[in-house]
Amino acid sequence: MIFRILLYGVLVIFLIGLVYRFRSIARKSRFFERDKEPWAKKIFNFTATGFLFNTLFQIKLFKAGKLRWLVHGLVISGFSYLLVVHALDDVTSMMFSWYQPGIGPFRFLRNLAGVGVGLGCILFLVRRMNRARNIRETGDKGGLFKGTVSIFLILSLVGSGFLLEALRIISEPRFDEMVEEYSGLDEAGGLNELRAYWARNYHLVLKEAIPFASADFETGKALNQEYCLDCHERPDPAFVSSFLAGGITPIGNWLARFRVDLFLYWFHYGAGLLLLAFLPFSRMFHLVAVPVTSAWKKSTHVNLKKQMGLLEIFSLTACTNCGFCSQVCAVYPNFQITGNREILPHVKIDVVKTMAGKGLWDARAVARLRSGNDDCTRCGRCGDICPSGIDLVRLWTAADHLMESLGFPDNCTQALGTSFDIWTQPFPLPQVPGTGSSPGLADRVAAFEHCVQCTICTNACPVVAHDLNQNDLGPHQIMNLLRLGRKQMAAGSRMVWHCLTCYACQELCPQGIRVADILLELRAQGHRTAEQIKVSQLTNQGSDK
Amino acid sequence: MRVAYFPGCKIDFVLGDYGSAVETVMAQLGVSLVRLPFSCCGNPSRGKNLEVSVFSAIKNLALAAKYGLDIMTPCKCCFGQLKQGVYWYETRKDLRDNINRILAQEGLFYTPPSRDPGSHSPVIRHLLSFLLHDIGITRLKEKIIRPWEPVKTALQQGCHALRPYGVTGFDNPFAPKMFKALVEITGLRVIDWSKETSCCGNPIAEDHKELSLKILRHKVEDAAREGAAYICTACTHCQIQYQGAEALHILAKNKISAVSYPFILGTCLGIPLGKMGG
Amino acid sequence: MTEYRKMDCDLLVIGAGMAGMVAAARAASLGIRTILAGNSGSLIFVSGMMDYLGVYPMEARKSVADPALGLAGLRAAEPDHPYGSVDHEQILQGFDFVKKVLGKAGLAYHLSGGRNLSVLTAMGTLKPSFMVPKTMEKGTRLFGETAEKKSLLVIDIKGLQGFSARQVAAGMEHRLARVIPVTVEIPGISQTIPPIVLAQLFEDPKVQEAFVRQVLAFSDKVDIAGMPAVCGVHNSLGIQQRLENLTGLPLFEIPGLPPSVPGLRLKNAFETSLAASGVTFLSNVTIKDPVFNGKKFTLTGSTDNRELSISAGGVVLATGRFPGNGLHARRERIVETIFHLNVHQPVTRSLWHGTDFLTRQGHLVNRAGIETDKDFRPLNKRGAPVFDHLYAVGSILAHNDWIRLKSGAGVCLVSACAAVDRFHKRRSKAGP
Repeated sequence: MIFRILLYGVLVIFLIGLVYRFRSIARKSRFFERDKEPWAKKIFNFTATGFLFNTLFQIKLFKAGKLRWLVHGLVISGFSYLLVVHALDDVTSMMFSWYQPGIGPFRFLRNLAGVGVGLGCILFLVRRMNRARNIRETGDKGGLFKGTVSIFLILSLVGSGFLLEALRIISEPRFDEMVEEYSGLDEAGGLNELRAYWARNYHLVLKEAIPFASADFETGKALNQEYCLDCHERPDPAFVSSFLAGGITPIGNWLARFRVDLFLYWFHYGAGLLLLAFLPFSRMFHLVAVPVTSAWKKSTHVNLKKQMGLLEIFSLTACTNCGFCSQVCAVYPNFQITGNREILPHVKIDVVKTMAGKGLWDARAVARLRSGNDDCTRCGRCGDICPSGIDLVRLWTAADHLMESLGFPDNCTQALGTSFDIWTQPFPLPQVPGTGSSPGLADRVAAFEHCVQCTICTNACPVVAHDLNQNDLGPHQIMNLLRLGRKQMAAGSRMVWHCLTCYACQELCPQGIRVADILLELRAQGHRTAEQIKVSQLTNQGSDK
Repeated sequence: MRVAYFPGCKIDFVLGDYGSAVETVMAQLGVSLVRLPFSCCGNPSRGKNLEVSVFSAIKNLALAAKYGLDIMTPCKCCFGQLKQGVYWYETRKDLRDNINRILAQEGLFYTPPSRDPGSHSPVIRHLLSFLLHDIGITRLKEKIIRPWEPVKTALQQGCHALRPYGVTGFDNPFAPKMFKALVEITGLRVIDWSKETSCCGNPIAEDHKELSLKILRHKVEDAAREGAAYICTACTHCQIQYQGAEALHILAKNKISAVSYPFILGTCLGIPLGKMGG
Repeated sequence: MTEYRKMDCDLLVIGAGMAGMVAAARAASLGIRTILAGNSGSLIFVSGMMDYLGVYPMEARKSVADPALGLAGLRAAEPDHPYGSVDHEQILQGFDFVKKVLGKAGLAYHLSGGRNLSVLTAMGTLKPSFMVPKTMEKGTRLFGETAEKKSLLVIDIKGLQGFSARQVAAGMEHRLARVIPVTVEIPGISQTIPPIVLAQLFEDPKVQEAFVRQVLAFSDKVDIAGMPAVCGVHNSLGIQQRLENLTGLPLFEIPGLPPSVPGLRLKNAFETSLAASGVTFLSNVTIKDPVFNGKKFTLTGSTDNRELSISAGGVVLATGRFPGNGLHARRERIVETIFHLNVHQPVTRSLWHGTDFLTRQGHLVNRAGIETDKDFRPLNKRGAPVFDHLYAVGSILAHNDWIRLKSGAGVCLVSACAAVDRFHKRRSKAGP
C-alpha cells in the first residue's frame, strides 16, 4: 500500500515537473526577428527518419565517437531493459505470463543489464574526471558536476539492486517468509531438508548449520521441485549478485538478522522513485528532449534567414554537455587566444539557457556570450556533430536575436548608436588577454604621418561611393583624425565599421600607408569600447533598480 | 597530386554546391583532396582581434605542415587571410612568441617560408592559382570535352586575393589575368568589365545590408549594360553574395546569372550536373 | 608546389609612374621580357594632359606656340637638359607611341599636329599642352581665331569641390562672346563628393539623364559646353558622346585638381595594356639592394611578407623625384635611393632655393637629379656611365625643371622610349 502511495506521489511530481517544463517551453519558445518584438509561433518541421534513427540508434553519436556510443548504448539499453522488465514487472508480467524474475535467464539478463548500466555510468564519471583535469588547464570549471547527480543516482540504484539481490539470496528470514507464504511447510514436513538443499544449491546462509544427509538431500530436492522451482532456479546465472552473495556470506547471518535486505529494498525502490521524480528537472530530461530535437528538421542557410531564430526549450535541455561541438568548433582558436569560454558551443548553450530564463542577469556574462556568439562563423559543424540532434546554428541565431530584443546589440550597432560624447569618454579599455604588447599601426606615428591628404583612398573607396549621404568620413579623414591624436573618435566612425576590407585604398596609396589595416585596427579598438559601454550601461541600469 | 583542402567555414553549411563542384573537378583532374581538421581561417576576426586572426591562420598552416601538405582553398577570403596570417606573423614579433607557445602545446610548429628553406612551409594556393600553376592551362585545355558557347561573361575577381598585392602576391591587382585565362579556355567570352576588381559587398551583408545590396545592384546593373549574361565567381563569399534571395531577384531583373568557376569548369570536363550538386 | 620567389627578366622597370609605364609599354612592344615594380597610385595625381614644352624660356610671360622652336632654343642654351639627347622627331614619335598604346587600351587621346593646344583649366586659365584626352579635344579648338564670337556654357556639379563654374567663367569672360556658368544637381548627392566617385556615378544612365535634363535648357543659348572631367572612369568618350547626343551640344572636359579622373583613366589604360602585353606588374613592391655580377643585375623586391629575388639584364630607373621617393633629401645632400647614384645638385643646402620663392627662373633644387649620357645612362662623378644597362628616365633626370617648362610628360615619355630603344639595340648587338 505504502509503495503505491509513494509511487503515485512520485508520478505526480514527475508529471508536475513535465508540465512545468512544458509550460516554460510555451513561455520561452520565441521567434526573434531583428527590430521586432519577439513572437511565439509553433513551427514543427518533422523528420521521421531523424527521429527514428537518432532516438533509437543514436547514429549521430555513433558518427561522433564510437566508444562513447558503445558506453551510452550500454547504459541506455540496460536501463530500458531494467525499466521495462524489472521495474514495471507488474505491468509487463500481465502480458507475458511466463515471466518470472527468479528463473535463470531473467536473472542473468537483469544482472547483465545492471552491469551495463553500472559500467557505463562509471565510465561517464571517469570521463568527467578526465575532462576536469583537462579543463583545469584551460581554466574551465563550471558545468562539470551538474550532471553527476543523476549519474550517482543511477549508480546507487544499480548498486543497491545488486546488493539487494545478493542479500535476498543468502537471507534466512527471507527464506522463512517465502516458505511460510507459499508452502506452509513445517519442520516435520521437511523444512529442514529444504533448507539444507537451499543452503547447498541456492547459497542460503543458515544461522545454524544443518547436518547433511543424502537422503535428506533427495527430500529437499523433491520439495524444492514441488514448491520453489517454478519461480526460483539456482541463483548462479545472476553472476554479479551470486558473486556478491559469496562475498558477504561470512556476515550474511548478521545482516539477515537485521533485515538489511528490507532496508535495501526500500533504498532501491526509493532511488528509483527519486530518479523518476528528478528526471524533468535534471540533465536526464534529455531523455525526453533528444527525441524531440532529433525529430526536428535542421535549419538550412536559407530558412535560417527566413525563419530568423526560434529559441525553444527542447534544444536547450537536450544538451548533455558532451563537448563534441567544442572539439570541432571552427573558432576554437579564438578561445585559445582570448580565453573567452563563451566561444565554445557547449558552454554557450548553458549561458543561453540561463539567459532565456533570467534575461540579462549578468552584464559581463552576457557580454562574453555576445562576443563569443559574434565570433561564431555559423559553419554548422557543431550542429552536424551534436549527438543530441540539437539544431545549434538555429540556436545561435536565436540567441543573437534574443540579446538584441533584450537590448544587448552587436558591437557595430552599439558603436554607431552611441553619441560621440559617450563614445569618447575615457573608458578603461580592458587589455584583451594575449594581445601583443607592441603598439599597433594607429599608435605609431610613422605608420600614417606621411599622409598628404591626397584623397586617393577616399576616391577609391566603394563605401564612400555607395553610401555617399550616410557615410561620415572618408579614409583620408580618418588618417587626419589620427594625426590629430583622436584615435578614439576615429574608432567610432561609420567608415571604420562599414569598411569592406577591399584594400583598394591601401593598394593605391601613393605614400604606402596601410590604410585598410589601420581601419581594421581601429575597428578592433571600437569593439572593445562598444563592449565596455554596453556592460557599463547595463550595470548602471541594474543599480538604478 | 595530394593537397590539403581548406573549404573554409561557409561551404559546408551555406554553399554545398560550390564545395561539391570543387571536389568533383579535382577528382576529375586526379588531385586528391585531403581533409584535415582545419579551423576558421581567421578572416572574420580581422577587425576584432588581430592576434586571433593571425593565430587562426597560422594554426591551419602548421596543421598542413605537420602532414607535409600544401593548402588549396576555393575561397578568396580564406586565401587572403592565410597570407595575411603569414605577413603579421613575420611582422609582429610579440604575436609570434605567444602563437608559437600555444602551437607547441598542441604539438604543432610553424616556420614561415622565408626563414628556413629546408623545412616545409605549406604553399598557400587559391583554386585559380592551383589550376594555373599546378595543373597547368595546357593540361586543362586537353581535358575540356564540352566547351561552352561564347557567351559574354563578366568576372568577379574577389578582393582579398588581389589586394594587398604585397601580402597576397596573387595576380596583378589592377589588371588581373589569371581568372580571365582560366575562363576563356571554357569557351565563354570574358568581357572587359570596369567593376571586375571591385568589392561584391558581402563583407557588410550583416552589418549594413542596405549598402551591401546597393553595391551588388550597382555591379549587376553595370554588368548588364556591358551585355554580360553571366557573372563568374571563384570565391565562396562572392558567390554567397550573388546567391542571396535579394541578389537572385536583382540578377533575374537584369537577366544575368551568377555561376561559380568550378561549376563551369566541371561541365566542360564532362562532369554530370547532378554530381556537382547543381 | 613551389612558391615563386625567384624572377628573371630582361628588363626591370622600377617605378610605375608616367615614365615607368611608358618604358614598360615600350619594352613590351619590342618583345622584351619585362617586370614593372612600383606604385601606380601616383598616376592618379597627373592631370591627364601631356605636355611637350609649354614655356621657354622660363622667364617668358607667354607660352610657346610651337614647341619645336622652343626645343631648338632649349637644346642650344641647355645641352644638359634631357631634351638635349633627343630631337623633335623622336619626341613626336614618343607621343605617337603613347597615343597608340593608350588607344589600344581603350583610352583615346588627341595629339596636336605640331602647335601647342590651349586647354581651359578649372582655374579659368589657359594652359599649353601637346596631347590631351579626346574628351578635352573640343575645348582646345575653342580658342582659335573666332573665339570672340563663341558662347560657352560652363557646368559645375553640386558637391564637387575644386571646380567652380563661376570661377572658370570669370577667367574666360574677356576671351569669349558669352560665358554662362551653371550648376547641375545630381539626385542623391547632398554633400561633397570625391571626383572619382562622381565619375563612377556618371556611368549610370539615370545620372546622365538627370544631367542632361538640366543642361538641355541652355542648348540653344550656347555653342559649346565645358564640364569637369568626370565623364565616367571607363568609356569616357562614349559617355561624353551620349551626353552630346542627348543635349545636342558639343561637350568637352575641363581638367581639375588632383586626384583626377583623367589620371585614373590613364592609370587604368596603362595597366590594361601592360597586362595584355605580358608585362609582370609587381604592385607596391619595393626594390632594393641591387647587385651587379658583370652580366646581370640581381635586385631584391620586398613585398609585405616576402622577398623576391629579381634578376634582370637591364634596369630602367623611373622612380621619380621626392614624392616618388626616387630622390631623398637628407639634411645636407640629396641622394638617390636605390643605386646610390651620383646626384647633380647645388653644393650646399643654402643654394637649394633662391630668396624669391615665386621666381620664374625656378630654384636650383628643381634642377637637381641624375645626370646621364646621351643614352640616358646615369653617370658617375668622372662622367662615365655607371653600368652598361642601367638607365634613368622621367622626372628623376637632372636639369629638368618640368613644372616651369611644362614639359613633364614629354620628358618622361621620350626618355623612357629612348632608353628602352637603346637598351634593345645594344643588347641585340651584343646578343647572339
